[in-house]
Amino acid sequence: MSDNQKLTDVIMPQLAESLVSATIGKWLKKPGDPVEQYEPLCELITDKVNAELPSTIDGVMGELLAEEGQVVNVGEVICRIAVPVTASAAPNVTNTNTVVADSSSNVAGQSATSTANDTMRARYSPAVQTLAAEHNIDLTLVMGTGMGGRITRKDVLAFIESGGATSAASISASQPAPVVSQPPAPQFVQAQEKKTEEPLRHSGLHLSESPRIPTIEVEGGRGSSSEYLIDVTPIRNTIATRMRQSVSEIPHAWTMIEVDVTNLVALRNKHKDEFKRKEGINLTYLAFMMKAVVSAIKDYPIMNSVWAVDKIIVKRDINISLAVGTEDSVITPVIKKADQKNVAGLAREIDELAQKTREGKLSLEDLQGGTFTVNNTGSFGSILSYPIINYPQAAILTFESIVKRPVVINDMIGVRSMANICLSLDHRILDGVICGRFLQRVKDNIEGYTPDTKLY
Amino acid sequence: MPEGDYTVPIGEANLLRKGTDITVIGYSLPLHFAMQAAEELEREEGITAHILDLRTLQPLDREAIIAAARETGKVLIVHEDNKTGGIGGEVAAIIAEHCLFELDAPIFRLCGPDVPAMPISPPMEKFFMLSKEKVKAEMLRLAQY
Repeated sequence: MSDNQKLTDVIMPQLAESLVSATIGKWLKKPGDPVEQYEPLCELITDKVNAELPSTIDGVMGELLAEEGQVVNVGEVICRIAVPVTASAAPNVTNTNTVVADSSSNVAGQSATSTANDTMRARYSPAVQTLAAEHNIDLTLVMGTGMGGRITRKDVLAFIESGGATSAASISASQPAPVVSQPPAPQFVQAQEKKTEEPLRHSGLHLSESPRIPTIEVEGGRGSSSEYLIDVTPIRNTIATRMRQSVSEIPHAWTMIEVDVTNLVALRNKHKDEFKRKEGINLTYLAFMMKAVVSAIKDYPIMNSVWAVDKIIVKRDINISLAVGTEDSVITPVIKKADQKNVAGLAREIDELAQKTREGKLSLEDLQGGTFTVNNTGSFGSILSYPIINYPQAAILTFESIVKRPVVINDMIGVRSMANICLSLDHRILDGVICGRFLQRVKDNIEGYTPDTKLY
Repeated sequence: MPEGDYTVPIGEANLLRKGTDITVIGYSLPLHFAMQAAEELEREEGITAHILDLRTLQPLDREAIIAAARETGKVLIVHEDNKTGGIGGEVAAIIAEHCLFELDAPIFRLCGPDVPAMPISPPMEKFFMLSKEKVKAEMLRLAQY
């Protein structure tokens, strides 16, 4: 009877170009569970994102070939889905094998009429879906008596009554029996086999909906209560690898400049309430400062480059990576073509990316293509920091806290809002002079904001 | 019309008939057609209809409407009033609000056509008015859906 169900391999998809493997997070389907197309089969954890692997076909989960937590290379089979071949096989047999027809004409005829008009066969009403979910029923096994072969609520109830829910597998095995038990049929069964053997789709990943809680596991059994162990998550591992690579490969140099942001504070205070009302998002200092940095990069394009040993690659697009901290990690989503956006546009992008990061909804695309990194370290009160470059970029810049300080202007002392801007640079590409000029330009841009500056 | 004095409770619907295939919700005259059609359908096709008499339209008996809709998941609303702007839209909205996941078919409405009532000409009156035949055909269509 195993001929009635074709096992289709599900392989590990290539979630992104650079990924060669992924970790199985959690199986969402157990063997024997009915699977519908696009239903998630399992969670996949990669260095960059967590994704759910959707099914490409309807069927029943056969066997799981990979365990939870196992690292699987792209292209390897992770599970098999059993697909019943009954529905499509029956009408074709009556067409192709006329010889068989006279020996079992009543059976063939019956299956032909039942599938003759099945335009509504796969249309499930909410009531049917609710019942199927409650009783764990594979709807492909239920006979539809409604209009166009539709499965009605009553059909499902009758199916449950007849004990179909519990013995779904045995019904699917007994139903198609007349088709495959006939000797002249094998060539057709072969054709069917070929069809289901087609490789599965690789793309179409669905991002997991809920933010992932860090899986911190405390391991006991060592008899010591003075310490405990935390499992390194894939994302922690990636951060560690990148940081190490950056510090060991890039000769870091560091410089800082002090900026008078009094006018910027006035400008932001003037607009922030109206902006919140109009746009629904907060107008942050970061948006203004980022705008100032992007314009400065425009003037000094060498800041937007990558060291390639025998040459320096200068990128034309200015894609700003924004360091966003979460409870257990730091991620750098990218604002693409930041030079094409005004302050309001940047504020919106920053808000969206920060939100997506905290909810764990970033896609790979959100994380790729950064050319220069900006980190708003001032948001947690720092006034000075020494950032590590986001490999392989040329520099990283941080905005520190805005603090009021006495400042000497024209030999008079005044109270001004001041902020530090720190820059770590790849000394292979950049030197003090160019960075000094760049920072001076950033400073000029920020101090150039007046309460009359336009946001749009 | 019952003989003698009688009172009708306000805001309380009345279940006229129990069934498992379709639910018919309405008030007044068309329900008589529905009751007759239900008898015939049970005899001829084995279809059993669940029939609810709203009795009062304001206030509407929401609980009874929801319970009746859940009973079968297939709802037919009948009234003599024009379809557009009739109370059937309100009943359908209540069902849609509360019973989305219990519905097995679109909510059907059989009402008067959207023309002014009432034409003073027998063929046109026939066109406008509901009848046992019209109700029965619609009930059958819903049962077979």
